[in-house]
Amino acid sequence: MKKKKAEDSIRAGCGINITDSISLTFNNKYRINSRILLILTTIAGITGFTLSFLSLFEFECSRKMLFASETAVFILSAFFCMFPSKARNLNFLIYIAWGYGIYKKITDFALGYGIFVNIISEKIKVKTGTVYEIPADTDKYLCLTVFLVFLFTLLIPIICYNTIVKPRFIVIFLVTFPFIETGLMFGFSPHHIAFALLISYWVAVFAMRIAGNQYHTESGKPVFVRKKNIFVSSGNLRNNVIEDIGIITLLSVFSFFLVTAGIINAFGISRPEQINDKRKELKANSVFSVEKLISDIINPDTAIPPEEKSRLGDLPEISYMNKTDLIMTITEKPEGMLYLKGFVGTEYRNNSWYALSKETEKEYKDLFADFKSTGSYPQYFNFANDSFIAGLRPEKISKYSITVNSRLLLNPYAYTPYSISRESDLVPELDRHFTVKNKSNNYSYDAYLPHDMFLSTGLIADHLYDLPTMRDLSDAENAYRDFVYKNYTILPDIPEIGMLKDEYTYIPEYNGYNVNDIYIAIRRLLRENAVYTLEPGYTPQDSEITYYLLKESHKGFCSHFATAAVVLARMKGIPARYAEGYIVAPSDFAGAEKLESGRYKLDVKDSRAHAWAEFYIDGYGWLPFEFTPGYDLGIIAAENEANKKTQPEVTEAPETEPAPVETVTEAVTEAAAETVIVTVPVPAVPETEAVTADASSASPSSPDDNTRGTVPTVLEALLKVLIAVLALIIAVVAVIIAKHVYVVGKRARSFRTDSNSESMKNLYRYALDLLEHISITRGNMLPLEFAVYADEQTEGLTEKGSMTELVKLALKAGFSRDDLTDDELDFARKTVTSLADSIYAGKTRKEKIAFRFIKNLHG
Amino acid sequence: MIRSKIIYLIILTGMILFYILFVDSMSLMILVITLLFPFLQLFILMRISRSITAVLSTESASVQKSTPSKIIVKIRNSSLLPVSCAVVDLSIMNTLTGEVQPLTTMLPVSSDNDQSVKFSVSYAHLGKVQIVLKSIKIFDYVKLFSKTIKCSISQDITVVPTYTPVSPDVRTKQINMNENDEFSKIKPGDDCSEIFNIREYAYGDKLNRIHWNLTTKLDELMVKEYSLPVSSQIIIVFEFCSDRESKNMFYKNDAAIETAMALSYYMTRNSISHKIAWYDPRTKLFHTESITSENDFSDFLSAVFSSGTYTDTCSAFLHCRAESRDVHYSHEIYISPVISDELFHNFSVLTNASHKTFLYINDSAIIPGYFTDSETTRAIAVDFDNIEEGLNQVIV
Repeated sequence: MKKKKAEDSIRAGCGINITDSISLTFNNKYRINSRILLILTTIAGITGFTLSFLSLFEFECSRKMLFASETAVFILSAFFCMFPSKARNLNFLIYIAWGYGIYKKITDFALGYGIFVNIISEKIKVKTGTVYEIPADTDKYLCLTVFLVFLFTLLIPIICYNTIVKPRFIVIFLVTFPFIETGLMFGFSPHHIAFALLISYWVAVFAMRIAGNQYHTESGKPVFVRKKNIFVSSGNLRNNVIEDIGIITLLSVFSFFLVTAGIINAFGISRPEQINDKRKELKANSVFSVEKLISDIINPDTAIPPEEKSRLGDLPEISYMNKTDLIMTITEKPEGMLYLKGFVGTEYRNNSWYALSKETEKEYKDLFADFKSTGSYPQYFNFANDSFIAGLRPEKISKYSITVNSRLLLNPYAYTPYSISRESDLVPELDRHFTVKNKSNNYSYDAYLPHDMFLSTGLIADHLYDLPTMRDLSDAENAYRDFVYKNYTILPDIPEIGMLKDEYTYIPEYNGYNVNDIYIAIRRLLRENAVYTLEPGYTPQDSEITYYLLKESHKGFCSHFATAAVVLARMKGIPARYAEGYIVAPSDFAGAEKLESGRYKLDVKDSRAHAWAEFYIDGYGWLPFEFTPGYDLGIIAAENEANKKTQPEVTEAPETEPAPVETVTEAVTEAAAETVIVTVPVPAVPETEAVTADASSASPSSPDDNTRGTVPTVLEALLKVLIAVLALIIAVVAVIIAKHVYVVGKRARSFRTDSNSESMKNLYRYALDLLEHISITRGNMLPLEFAVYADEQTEGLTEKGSMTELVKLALKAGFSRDDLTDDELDFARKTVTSLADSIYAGKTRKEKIAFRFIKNLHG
Repeated sequence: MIRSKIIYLIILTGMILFYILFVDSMSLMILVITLLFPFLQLFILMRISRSITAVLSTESASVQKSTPSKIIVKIRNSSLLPVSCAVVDLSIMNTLTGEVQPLTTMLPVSSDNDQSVKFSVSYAHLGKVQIVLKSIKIFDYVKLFSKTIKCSISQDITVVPTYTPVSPDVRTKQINMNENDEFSKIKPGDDCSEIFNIREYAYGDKLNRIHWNLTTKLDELMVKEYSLPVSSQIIIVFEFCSDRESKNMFYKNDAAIETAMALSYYMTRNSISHKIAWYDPRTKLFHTESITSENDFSDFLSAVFSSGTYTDTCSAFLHCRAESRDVHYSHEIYISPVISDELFHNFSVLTNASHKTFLYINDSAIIPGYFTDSETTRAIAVDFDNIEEGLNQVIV
């Protein structure tokens, strides 16, 4: 009677029944053993990986020993991998031997590890000196060899297994790529042929994986998997195809490499300039960096908002995109340098500048309350405040009306000169900077700008005594003076600062009148010991930036010089602080558009971003002092547009020549290590220690980019890898959980369809999956025979007879005209749930995870 | 394929970034390889596609209902490059019932090799099954591209009915005729127009039956046995309609043919000459096939399956009645999966047959009250799932 019941399904086309029986025959003669092809592919991969890695860091070790040990382990592992089924697990014997070897050679291994880390850190220059102290009598050659032998032999069985037994691209890539990436990340190029071999191997395994997508059943399962009327070949179908594909892909990609390399070399194809520009643009835009992330994690000050701090040293180089950050209109062209101040760094620690801490703010709350109540903010104290200027120096100061339109994404500050009137859209922020009232991008103010160049170039100290005699200070100014002398002379209590203090005793201490002497001395000191470059490299996390600049790296950009100047000034007792913003030279206005209103419009580019030092001078307030080479007397390195393309970045300071000089500028292109010598004409500098700088390299990254670096040490590099691995693990776990939730949800929904019969069928399918998981399969048994068999096999897991009942209900659902009752469905649901729970309960923790999240059979 | 393309685009983007950020000729090489890789795959694919041929065959030309039979697809790859994935697309269609079943297999094909894939298929209904190898779609090694090789190779299989034996206790009644064109093959008679047999003389044989010429030649008395004229006017008419509204229609049709075949087979084995008649909706003709041996069955089935089904449920009956007015049958057996009061009445009042049997193929549903035996008409309900029971009630 079954036929009658199945009529409906027959109408749908089921009168033609395709049975599960499918067979495949193929001619297997003349075939090279497929495993040999896989072994050849694996050999290529291991060779490529080993040679690429060794070529990256040029380890001094016994290559013969390394290759011999690799060969031995490879032969053993490949041999085990060619065994059938579980015998492949003999690979673990290799790891037991490996562990024993480590145990016996633990000292050499540990020393080798230290040497290995030292070599890498030295090579990638994240740390000068050594990370690990290695005893002098250590045989470095031997220890490094031992370490590398263990390192490579650790990886070989993994590579073998995941190529010969089952091609798994992800595993292969994760095992090999991080080692290569360590070098690539820092710009080192591996041996081309070896790396080409490795890449060819990756592509081959990838192709094998994709081609063998159908290779996903476990051993013991049929060679074809059926899904409705689609038969997909499974992993047990070994007809040499993926092996052939592996070797064909490997050879073809490798050949392509060789041909491409030949063509590139023969025709001398080099990188277009646009690509280099694009590279700089990309790097300049890379707000996110792993170093920054690590630094944020390990630095307890992460709670501080980004606009309240400025980190230094985490950018190995800076570049700019020549984009407009600010559009400024001004009534007259100013004659002096215009320092547009934004961020002000007060407290200095951990190579970072911070705004005034909350504690200090609280301590001086009365002082700041007075500012607020009287409107006498320190921002108005300086030499240009209106009453002072109007009364004492009217002939040297002019009033300018300025409007600013900010194109920056974030606008935590209003960028202002040092002398603005109280009537404006701006709000003074304690003693530091201004903010815009309504957070608008547009604001305007009146500024009092000096006619004389010197007043704004940091050379004010030379002319300090030309200025009017210090007037009597108001009460507010006096109170603030005390605050300044107490808080703006604090330096971190670290050995480097102490060493600098001991060394630079020849610089006079500040006595209230010798700012000029100290200024000149610091300026000379900086220029004698450091040069300006856009690519100073990382500053190690454990090195103080001033010490590192003066004693180790001897190169930096404006942030480094400004910080060093502030530190040295504070050391000598001058209240000083760090400022960031933009600098505009009179020459910038040469091409400024004159508007109908008579105002001049100027685009302030990102290349005008700058950092400088501020000294507090009694009676004058905070004044900008310039210490960065190249920023003198209206000269900004970026002015020289012609030099932009050649990117001369490291400059040497000429000595005491006041006449125009020619500076030899050496630029090292980044990875090709081609040295270009460029001659840059530079105007005369009236100071003995004046230096010139590359015209295009005068800026730190944009002031709103608060990613002034951390110092990646070797630990950080390792931490970075760890974080990447962790991120990957988290991603994988997230995917697994998402899949689990999806599968379980879908299954639960399938048990609650409108038709009880349909729900029952789904329950039965789930029950079959569960039974199959515990190796109870139906095979050729009739349904009810299978039910009895399942009942016997699941004794203890389910109630006796429940499986028979379940099968009967499934048969009813499949072949009866009547729908199942709710009670019957409920019974089936309980039976299946109970079966799943019982199976789950009987598993170990690991098996439970696999059962629940990998197989998705519970939950 | 989409996934592979997305992966490739991601890799390509990564390689472009790598090229921009990594200042070394290696990055350019990798970018070039990444760009050229799809072309390499395309080249391989095109190369392989020219080397792939396929042949479709079946294990046998006919198969019994519900008995698995093999469909064999032989793929030949004459190239030295293997195929990572070939999707073989088949379509199986019963032309009589209109049932269609697609069949697809995805498998790798080795280089320079012949691969045969055998599928096992069984058919629940009678008819002519057409198997078509539509196409073979092959992919490159990373599934970026695919190429479909059109095949359109077809093979036919005839699904023949299962023979249902009729029990030996079926009552038979041979009707002797004085004159006829057809003679019994098992019994001698007295019609001198046809010699049934020649044998040696036996005591009691009439002298006028002695075959003198043969006696002279053999030097032994030989006698002629004359044939027995028999009635050949037994006709089996069956309806092969497809009433889509009716449940189990395909099974009823199968049962109708099987019933007709069982009766015919029985009569053939017992040397009872008879005819089978059915309606051909394509030609709109009523066909009559004289069945004298088992060999006639294949022609009959072929003709029936070619005719196909029709929706007018009593077409065969109406045509039979119209075309047989001048013919007298000793027995008319009418097999139909549908019944109505009017149909049964019209069958009952037929005058061109001495005996009439209405075999109603049903699905154990309630038999209507009017479906009863009368003096000349016998009404038999045949369960389509068990036709043997109904057949045993037939008197030939």
